[in-house]
Amino acid sequence: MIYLGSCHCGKVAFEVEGQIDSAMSCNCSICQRKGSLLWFVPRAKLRLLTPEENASTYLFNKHAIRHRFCPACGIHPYADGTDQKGNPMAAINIRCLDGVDLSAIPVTHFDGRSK
Amino acid sequence: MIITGKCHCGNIAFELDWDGAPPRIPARACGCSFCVKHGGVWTSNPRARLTVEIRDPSLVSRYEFGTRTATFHVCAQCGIVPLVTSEIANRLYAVVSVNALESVDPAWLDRAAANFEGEDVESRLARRQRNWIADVRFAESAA
Repeated sequence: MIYLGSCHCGKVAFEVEGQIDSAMSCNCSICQRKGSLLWFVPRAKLRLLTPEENASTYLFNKHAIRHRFCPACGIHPYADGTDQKGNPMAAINIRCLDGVDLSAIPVTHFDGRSK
Repeated sequence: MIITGKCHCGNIAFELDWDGAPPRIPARACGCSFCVKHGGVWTSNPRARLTVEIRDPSLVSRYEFGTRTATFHVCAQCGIVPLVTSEIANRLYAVVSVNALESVDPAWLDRAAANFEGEDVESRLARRQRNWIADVRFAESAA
């Protein structure tokens, strides 16, 4: 299935392909503030519909994850990173996808704060 | 009791003087189009006093939509939205993000869903005047 997604103002828009089986809610210092529900897909499954540079990048701590956000409306639609084998991955914030019933997606809570 | 909060990088920080020890903090998960994408959960208390400190004002975006009566203060450096303000009859009102609060015991939070869809502008502004923080100051720290 292909989902369309965007920030709130539309400066960052994308499509992503896959099956959403579950999402992750993390309580670490950045995830809690972003309020995101994350779904991990291979980076190749995410196709940006707006220029790459429309999304700002925030890095902190080990700089392992590139947190991408819209600098105009402050929505965080996705993040870029790699999995343990080094494959490029994207963490999609499913709150930004059109036509997804968030209450129907099982959520796994991750205690990132204690890591 | 003083409650502090900030965006992730610290460019937008605030101090909230809230009555009660421990305080009871309403946490409203809003159902509007912005807050669904933002996972927005907000709080306010008309008796609280809010002081906002901005390190670099050039790194704050102000976002408005819909009725354009509320301003979302977005940190352009880390993308976090710690507060929303609304100017009504020359007075500034605010709500702050529960997700941006620091050292708050989750047991103090009264979580509830909120949906203000269909509310007309007049009722919306009157509700903010009743419920939002009514003592809001911005202090720009010396760079």
